[in-house]
Amino acid sequence: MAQVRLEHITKSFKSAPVVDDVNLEVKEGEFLVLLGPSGCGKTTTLRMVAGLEKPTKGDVYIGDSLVTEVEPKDRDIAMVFQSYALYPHMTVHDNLAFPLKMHKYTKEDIEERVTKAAAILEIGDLLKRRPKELSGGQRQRVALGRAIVRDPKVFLMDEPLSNLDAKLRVQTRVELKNLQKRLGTTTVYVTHDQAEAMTLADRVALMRQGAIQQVGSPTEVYAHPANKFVAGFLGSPTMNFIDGVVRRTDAGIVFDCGEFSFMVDPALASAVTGVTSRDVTYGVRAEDVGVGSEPREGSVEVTVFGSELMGSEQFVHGMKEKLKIVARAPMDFQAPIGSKVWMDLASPKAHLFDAKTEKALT
Amino acid sequence: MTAHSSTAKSIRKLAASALKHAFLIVMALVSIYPVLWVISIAFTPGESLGIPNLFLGIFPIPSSFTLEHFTSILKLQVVVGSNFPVWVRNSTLITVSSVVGALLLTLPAGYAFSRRKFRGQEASMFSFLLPTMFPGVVTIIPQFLLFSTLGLVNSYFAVIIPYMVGSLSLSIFIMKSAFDSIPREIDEAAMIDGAGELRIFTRMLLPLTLPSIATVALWAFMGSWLDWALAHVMLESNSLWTLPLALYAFLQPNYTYYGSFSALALIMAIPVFVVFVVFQRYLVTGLTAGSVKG
Repeated sequence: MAQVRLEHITKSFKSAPVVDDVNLEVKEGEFLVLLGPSGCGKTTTLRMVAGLEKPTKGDVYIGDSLVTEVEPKDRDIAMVFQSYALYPHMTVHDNLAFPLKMHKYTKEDIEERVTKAAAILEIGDLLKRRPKELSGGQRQRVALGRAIVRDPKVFLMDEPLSNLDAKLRVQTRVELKNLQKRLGTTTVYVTHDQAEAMTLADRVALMRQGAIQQVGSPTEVYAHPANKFVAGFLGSPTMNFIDGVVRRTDAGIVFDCGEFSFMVDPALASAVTGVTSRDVTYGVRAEDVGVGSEPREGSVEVTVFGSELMGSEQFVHGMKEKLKIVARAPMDFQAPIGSKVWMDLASPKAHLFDAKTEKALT
Repeated sequence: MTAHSSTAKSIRKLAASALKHAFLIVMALVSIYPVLWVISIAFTPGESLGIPNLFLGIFPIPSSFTLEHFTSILKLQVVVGSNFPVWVRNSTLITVSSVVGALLLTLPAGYAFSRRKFRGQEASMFSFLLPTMFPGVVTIIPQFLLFSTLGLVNSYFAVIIPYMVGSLSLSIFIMKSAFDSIPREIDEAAMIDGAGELRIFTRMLLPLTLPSIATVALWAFMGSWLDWALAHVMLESNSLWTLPLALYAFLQPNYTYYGSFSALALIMAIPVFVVFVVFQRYLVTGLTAGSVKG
């Protein structure tokens, strides 16, 4: 167990930076998820921690040791790959034993550790099989087994659940979180799946175009996004964004997008501190949008163009001119396509982002 | 669709199938006929070509059976200082050395082209292809001059070295393609697990490319075991003769030992046949390895 620290890490391929001046500290025993869209540099960052890529600039520390120039095998880490990267010509037993053999453990020690890892992951009856004789879920367990067998300082995981079907993925991520807490090993986990990040992480680091946008607990980044990108990336359906102007008036603060206007919640007042008006993007999540069949003060009339039943609730998609707004409603709310409903966008949980910088103003 | 048009369609299908099979049977006969002929002569008494014994004038079925040619090649001394055990020893030594040498050159080269990035990579890959664009026989004279200058003519090296490098271009392509088909994550996983580059090469990549290695080995084996032209130019001394050179010796200007010639040709074919049968499964996989990524 050790902390991982990245100091001003930059990685450029053909002079274009893929990771740009990243500073990040993963605490001892912490489960940190690097989250972001494809190509944002999260896997490259992980590979630099592993030693599979050399940073163009900056330093990597594991524990107190500077490991920037240290070979992967000497970093005392274990990695689980997206494809699992099991050794196809070896049995499960030999796959688990391989890292131990490479580190010159004694035969007795190897057998003891393999048996223990197999027991933890419930793969004891698979030890004589080869990877091609295993299901996706079993392969995933073997890959995890190979990571834990040596009890390394740090686990690095590159989208290890993405090849599993949806049901197994949900089940495995709960088990994975449990396993990590039991072992207490510092873990850096890469994913583009925000649900995975929210359920697994102690802290999430959101990346975009090679730069970290925000680091915080799942609740923190969800409830208080640092910018429009973070707000839009987290949550499903995506947060509603409406471009417009906020104005300070005698009655309160008004948001006006041209098509309609409404009084915003006083909680957002800090957005116009020191100014009378400002170009902004108003952001509000579907669960914070009120929806009704009758008009209410400040509500916006929209035409329903679809709804998604999710079980106990539904998402109603409304159109106002060219603007799309999604609201969460109870499953029995009647919203046939083409009908008119009224959506209440004013919420204390709404966000205001600067129109130019896209940074959160509230 | 009417019954009439359906029948016409099935007749057309049948005719096409019959035509296809007839063509394949003819092609198979053309390729297997010389083999059957050699077998027939090898087991027919006398040293004739066996034409009078052709069954129905086409199929070479021996009218009587003998093993005399097989026993005679063990005793026959066509040239001074050279006999069957010497030819077998020379052929085996040269072939084994060529195959081992070819593998020692091909496997690391294929690995380097697959896993390393270096300046001039594409140009060197192309340069390996260049010799394959010329008939092999064209290279024999310059090779003779080269080995003659080096004082290596009439030694094992004069054939082993050209055999080693003769199949290099295609073999490197096969091995590069085989290594390319193994995900790099296997290397990386092994690297993180504590393996160095040599161990990754020997413990991971080589076991996973066995079919391609078998193909490359067979290619080198055939190139040296069956070669006559280069050996004929390079090996003057009778004591260095290989089986193909001995085979040629049975074709004397004034008398041709067709029976012994055929018997020796059959003996030479046995290792090739055995290798093909034993490695058949690997060879099919090896030749297609890398064509589909998955």
